[in-house]
Amino acid sequence: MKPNSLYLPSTFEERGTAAPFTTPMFALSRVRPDERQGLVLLLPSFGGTDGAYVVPWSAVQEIGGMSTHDRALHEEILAAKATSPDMMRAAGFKVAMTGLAGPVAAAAAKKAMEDDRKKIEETHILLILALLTSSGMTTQELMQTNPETDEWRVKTKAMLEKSAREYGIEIDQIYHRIGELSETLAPVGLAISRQEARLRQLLQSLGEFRQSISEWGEADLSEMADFAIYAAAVADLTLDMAGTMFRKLDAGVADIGLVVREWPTQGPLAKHMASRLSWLLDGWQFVIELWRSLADQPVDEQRDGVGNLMRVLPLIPRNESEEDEEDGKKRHELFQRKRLQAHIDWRTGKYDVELVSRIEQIKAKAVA
Amino acid sequence: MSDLDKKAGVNKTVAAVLDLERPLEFISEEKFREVAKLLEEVHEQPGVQQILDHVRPRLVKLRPGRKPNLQRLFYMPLEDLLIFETMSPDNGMLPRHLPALVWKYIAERGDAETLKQFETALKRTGTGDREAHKKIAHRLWPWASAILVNLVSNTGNAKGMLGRDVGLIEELNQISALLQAAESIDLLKEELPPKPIRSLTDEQMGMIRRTIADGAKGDADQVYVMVLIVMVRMAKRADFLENIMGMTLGLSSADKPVVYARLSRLVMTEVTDRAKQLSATDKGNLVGLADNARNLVNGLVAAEKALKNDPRARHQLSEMRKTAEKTVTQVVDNAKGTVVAAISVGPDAPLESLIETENSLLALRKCQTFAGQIGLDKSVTGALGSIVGEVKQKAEKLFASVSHKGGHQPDRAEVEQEMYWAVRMTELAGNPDDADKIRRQGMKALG
Repeated sequence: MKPNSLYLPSTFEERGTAAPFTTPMFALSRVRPDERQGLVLLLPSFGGTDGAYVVPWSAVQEIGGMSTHDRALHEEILAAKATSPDMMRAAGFKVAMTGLAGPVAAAAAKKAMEDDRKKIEETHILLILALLTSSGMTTQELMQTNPETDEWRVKTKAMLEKSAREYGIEIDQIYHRIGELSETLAPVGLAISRQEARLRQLLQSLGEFRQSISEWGEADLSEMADFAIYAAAVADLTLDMAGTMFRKLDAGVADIGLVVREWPTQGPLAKHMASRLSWLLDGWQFVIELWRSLADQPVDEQRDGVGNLMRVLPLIPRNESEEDEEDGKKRHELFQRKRLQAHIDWRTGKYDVELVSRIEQIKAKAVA
Repeated sequence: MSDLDKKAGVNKTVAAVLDLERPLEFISEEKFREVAKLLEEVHEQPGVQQILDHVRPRLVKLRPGRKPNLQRLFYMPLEDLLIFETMSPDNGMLPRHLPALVWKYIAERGDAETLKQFETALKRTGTGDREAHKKIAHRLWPWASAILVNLVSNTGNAKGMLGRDVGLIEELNQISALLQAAESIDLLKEELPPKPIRSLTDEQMGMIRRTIADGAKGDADQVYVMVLIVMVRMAKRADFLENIMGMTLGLSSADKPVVYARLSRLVMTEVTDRAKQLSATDKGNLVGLADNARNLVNGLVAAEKALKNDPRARHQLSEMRKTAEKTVTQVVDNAKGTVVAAISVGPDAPLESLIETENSLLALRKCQTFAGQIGLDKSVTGALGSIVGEVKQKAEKLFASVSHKGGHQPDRAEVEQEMYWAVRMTELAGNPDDADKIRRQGMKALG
């Protein structure tokens, strides 16, 4: 077995989707389907390795010390079979809105859901405009009309009917395809309309994180400096991959007319590419917010924070990255050489109201 | 530009730096170097020293990129003790301008030929060649030390050299001792982990003891400065002081209590600072008060243990303890009052009020972690217990109204909201297991 294949999962699905638990021990544990157990929880290792404990779903609450929010989330994930980042986001919001993770997390979840809905509507409008432009129609008049009015609806319907005739499909199919595409592209944003969206903005934050933690690593005198630089390298690799994925996706949906016309092949392709991006960036928002929360803390707290952050760093699976053998070996050696200890408080099975409260604040910011 | 304009400009810059959204250690290296240079220039401005202390680890790390001059090599044994104050803090820390004055004296009075040899040797070294710089430093220290020993042996000359800084005579003697112990100090720094050190292993404590005993050879001043150098690097200074002074450091029985008392001044400064921080905390910020009270109480407990044989220190600590008790009592009363008032309103309160309630509970839980050390454990536990009791009563009444058949049935969404609120309150004031019981009870009642 090659050293770099020891601990890395082979695919995003095997890596699992990050669950927004608030109990330190479970924070950013990952969930994945399992043939025998239905679901399993991948609990990050606390020792000197970069592996994870695989816990059957029914045994998770027995580990102990779980907040009531996490108990409710544990139940909701099973009920919703939330095994993808998007489904996990929905499950997380549903539980956060109960207030079990505090009023700030509840308000943040409510706002994020509202923002997501608005973004889908906005994308829907942009896609219609892009489709009409792609069909050679001028959208000048539409741009000056309020999209929430009947006037807009009548005008667009007439224009879309023209497109449908041109494409040789029904207008209902156009509406349906645009609807699906809006939901697919809303988290990613539409490059042709210069639309900013959650995942595209996340890249900006990830770039800042990479810069900040790399400089911290350069400046720190402790053994955590190497881990910080390693985290920056993982962020770097993720940024490179995300950049490539965004370019491919943007090129793939550059001609909306083509996507709608050739939906049976183009639709699944767009969905696949958007989903890969969502998987690639899954978990990073929490890591970034965790790092930001340490900015004004004393240096020893920051060092502990780097240890905690390393446990939940979203490593890129073997088959999804182009990491060569040398990089993998280097990573493995780092974990072998240094005994990485998560801060003792984060390993305890005892409920600690202060630590949970800190994670709740990070969680509230991570969905914003 | 007039001096006044310049000063206004500097103040503006300092204000801008203080207002930086991203703390200094998070900005790029290039910008950091620029800002650090500016701050060094205006270090006498209020607040600047605090920033420089905060970013010192990064400054130290960036230093290898620069070729040190002889003065910087001279500073190495004492750099951990430097502060920006101009007066004597009377606790072993050294006002930064004093070593500059001492170096000027040494450079003027020392043999010019030897000084030139050091400079030439330093010029020949590479920029990042720390080993070569260190070799020169190891020759420089005893040379400088001899000049200084000669100076301090004559109090009149020493006072003359200090001029208007004559109040720093004790600190001048301390610099002399630091230079005499410079090699041992360097060894200690090489072997110790970076600041702040949370704990030391038995082997590390053994190494420190041996280095001090072997290096100082019973000289009380040298033992003092060496322990001080390690102590300032420790996160828990009082604990370290107690441990190290319990070991054999080669001190006579007459010197030992004197050295202990000199070192205890730093512990007292630290606890006094914590007391000041607590009294400066906004009285409405219950979480901040609880955090700072815990900080003070932890410091007090360690200081009381370490300084149990010092009656004056004991008296001062006892006064600070009274302040801590008073503050915590107020925090508990205010927090309990806020939460009890919130229970009658429930989850319909505005977001700010909900947050205030949560913060009050968090403050109580923080107080719970150290209340036993100041005899307030019963008061805190009682406050939390009564909150849990009241919330439970309210929840049971709610579930009974749902289970009651006939009559007006409450809205399901409202009941759920009330239930989750009760669960959350119980978790914050009590524990997740009791909170989850309420959740399950509620879900059962709702069907």
